[in-house]
Amino acid sequence: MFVSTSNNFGAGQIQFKDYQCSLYVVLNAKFTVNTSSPAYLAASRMEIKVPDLSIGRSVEVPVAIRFADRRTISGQEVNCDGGTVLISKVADKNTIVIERHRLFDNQGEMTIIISAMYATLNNGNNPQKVQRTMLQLQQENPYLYMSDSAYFVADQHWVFLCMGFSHCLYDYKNLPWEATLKDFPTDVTADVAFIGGVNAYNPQVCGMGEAHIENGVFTMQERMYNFCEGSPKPFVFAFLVRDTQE
Amino acid sequence: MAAWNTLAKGVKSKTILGEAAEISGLNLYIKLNYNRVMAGYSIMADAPAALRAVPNVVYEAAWVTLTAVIIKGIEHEEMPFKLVVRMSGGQSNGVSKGWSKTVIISPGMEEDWGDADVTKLYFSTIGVQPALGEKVFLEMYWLNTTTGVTGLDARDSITCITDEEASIEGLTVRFKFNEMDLYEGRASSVSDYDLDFSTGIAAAYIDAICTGGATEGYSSLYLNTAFPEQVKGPFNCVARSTEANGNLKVQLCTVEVKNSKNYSQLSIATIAGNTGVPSHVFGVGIRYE
Repeated sequence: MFVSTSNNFGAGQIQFKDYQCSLYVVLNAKFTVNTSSPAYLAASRMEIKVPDLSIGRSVEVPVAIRFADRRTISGQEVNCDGGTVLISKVADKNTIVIERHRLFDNQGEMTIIISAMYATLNNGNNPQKVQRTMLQLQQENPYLYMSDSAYFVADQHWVFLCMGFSHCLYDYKNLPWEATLKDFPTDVTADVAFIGGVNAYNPQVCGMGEAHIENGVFTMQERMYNFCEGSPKPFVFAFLVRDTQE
Repeated sequence: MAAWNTLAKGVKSKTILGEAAEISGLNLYIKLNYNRVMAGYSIMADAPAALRAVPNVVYEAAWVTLTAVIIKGIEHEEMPFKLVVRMSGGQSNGVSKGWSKTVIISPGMEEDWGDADVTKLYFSTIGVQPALGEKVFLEMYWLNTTTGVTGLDARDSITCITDEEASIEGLTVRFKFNEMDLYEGRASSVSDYDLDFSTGIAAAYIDAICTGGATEGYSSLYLNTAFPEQVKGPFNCVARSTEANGNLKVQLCTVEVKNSKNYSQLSIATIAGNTGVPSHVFGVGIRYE
């Protein structure tokens, strides 16, 4: 765990959960940015200054940015939350950079969720593969269903979660969700971006909500209003730091 | 020109005989802009405020074989520095000083995670590959692309050896794919690709543009050269649409390389999220069995 030393876009101190080694860094963080603030608008890219990282640069990886958008439609409040991914990298040992996309200028407060592996390259010539564990949801009355692209890979220090959704039973589409992830490490606590779903009121981005994983249990309180009504299917894609290695 | 004259007063120069000499503002203007233009930058009309020092090139080794010309272990320098590489054609092994025979192979490149693979540039510039046992002279220096100032030369002479000998000496072929010859028999729908398996762990890196094939959500790149056995197999990663209407919708993709009888193939399939193209697929994915 570490905290940022400064940033150039007017956010406060940012707390990171981390696993670092000489080949890569896995970072988890969630913070807000006001895209209408003068500091944000003056920055060509978001720069977060941090204490020495174990790597001096990284490849470019995606981080999620989302906004809340609640509207009253036909007398009902509906969730039109949206978002996308931004390009991020470790620029040097003390700087994490995140793309500033003009689409979000002056959109007010947005949330950035970092669940990323910042890798380096040219580290030898031994491509490896790992065994993945297919994700099984345990629910008393099953109502959530995964696609065949739902799995995790558990490293000693982190977990990679790829969670492709298939559908949920119609009666549950607007209710809070909860499911135990069978055999998923219980030492992961994180908010993750729940990406996808049609977003008719914000057509330039996709629907994006937040889910929570703790003690091997996946929960999601609410989601985009039209989830369950055809493609595109939502998913979670996250590198998550395990707590017990700290 | 007054600013250039002022700047030139603080610059040390040498005559062709190696004697210390002053340089005029005009000469400095030409010298710095020559370097910038060679590297693809525009002419700088205003004199830079100051000329900061340029680092020396630090590297581990360089190899010339019948199939590869590569410099390894180059210490990274952030932009605005770019690497200038000069090399000679094959010279007799009895020649000990052949640096005057070098020509520019690359006027300004970014080293690639410590590598400078100049194989294609070398063969296209020199035109003739060196024979086994011949010596190739190498000069490298950093260019500050903002000011046009160059650093000191790092010089080396390398004897052309076989790939097997280079392998024994420690040259490893990195599993990185970005400039392979296209197979013309099928229409490719992936461009600007960079696929790299050298993370040192069970992860691959991809950066590519998908333009979409005949099947929605499915883009492919068809190539003439087979992928090595070690890099076959899938991984998942994220893509973001880059449509002309400015959409930024997100996709989950499966990336896979495979070899067929007539071609090899990099396929990128959207398996969740939006299927809009073109899309920019980028990031790290875990490779699984």
